[in-house]
Amino acid sequence: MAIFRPGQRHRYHNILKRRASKRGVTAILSLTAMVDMFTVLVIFLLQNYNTTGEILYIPKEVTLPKANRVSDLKPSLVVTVSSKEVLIDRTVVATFDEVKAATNWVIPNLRDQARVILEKAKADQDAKIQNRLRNIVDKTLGNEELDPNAWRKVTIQADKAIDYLTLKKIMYSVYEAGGGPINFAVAKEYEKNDATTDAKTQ
Amino acid sequence: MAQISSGGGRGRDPNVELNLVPVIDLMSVLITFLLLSAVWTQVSMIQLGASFASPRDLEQKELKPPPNEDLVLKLDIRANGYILYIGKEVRTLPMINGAYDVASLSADLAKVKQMYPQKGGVKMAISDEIQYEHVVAAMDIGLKAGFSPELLTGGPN
Repeated sequence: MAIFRPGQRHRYHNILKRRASKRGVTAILSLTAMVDMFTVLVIFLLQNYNTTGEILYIPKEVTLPKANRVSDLKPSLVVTVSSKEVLIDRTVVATFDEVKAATNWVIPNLRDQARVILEKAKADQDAKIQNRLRNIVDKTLGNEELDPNAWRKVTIQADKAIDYLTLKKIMYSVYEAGGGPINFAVAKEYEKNDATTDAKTQ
Repeated sequence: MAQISSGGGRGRDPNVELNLVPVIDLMSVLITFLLLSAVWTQVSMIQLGASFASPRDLEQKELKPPPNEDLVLKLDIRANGYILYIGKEVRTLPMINGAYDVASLSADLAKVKQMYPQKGGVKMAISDEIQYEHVVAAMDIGLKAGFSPELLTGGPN
């Protein structure tokens, strides 16, 4: 066995040493570190991957409150309340100041727009249920069970600094339009001592 | 290219070369896709229990009261703190250093859950000026203790 002088040696020093010979120079890149880094990155990104597919559009002005007993988002009508305006699916229906100043709890524009969208959602769902009944494949797969009240679901995403009275007016208008149950959109916060905190409250 | 040397032998070492090019290609594509589709803020939802105008299930003909419905469990969220009503007992949890006493509320609700495991919901009466952030925080504490939050509000004047 050869005896080497102590000190740092490159793993491919034997090959690199051949530079002195007349053979061609072979530069070998150490890919191990890069592959390691890629693997860690892929695992991290896969863990953060959104599996539900439901993504909400959050305006810049809205900072969601944090909570850790949360459920996954479900498709629903989204009402956004920022410090400037109230939106239904990106359509402005009222300004925040109007809603805050209103003495009447019903916001007419919000109620009417919500009613139109909910009725459309109901018609879509009814059509889907009828199609599903005809679809033998779905029946055999056992997928025909559909929540009959799914079209009524409403998600409110409001800025964390909004006062509760304004929120009550918006909730009341949504109920007047035939919507509900109402869910609140929140930013998921992980507990240090409990990583799996998904609540199943239904 | 990565290579594995089989150690000492006669003459030149027989090297087994792993072709890492497809692996790196795959990793690069995967990382690009995942980075593009990554959602950095995970938005979820917090579910309300029955509230002041929750729609009734039309198919449900017989209304059954939930267990322990006669037991009062109500949380008042006010500008100066929490007030928790457990049956006839009233516990006041004032703010500490300008912040709601979340720890005490959490502990009290956990005790109530231990005493009445069948009790499913906590009714919440919230003052108009309370910020939405504090409403969600209280609901979250209720859910942590195992109670579904039910919002109580007066109707429009």
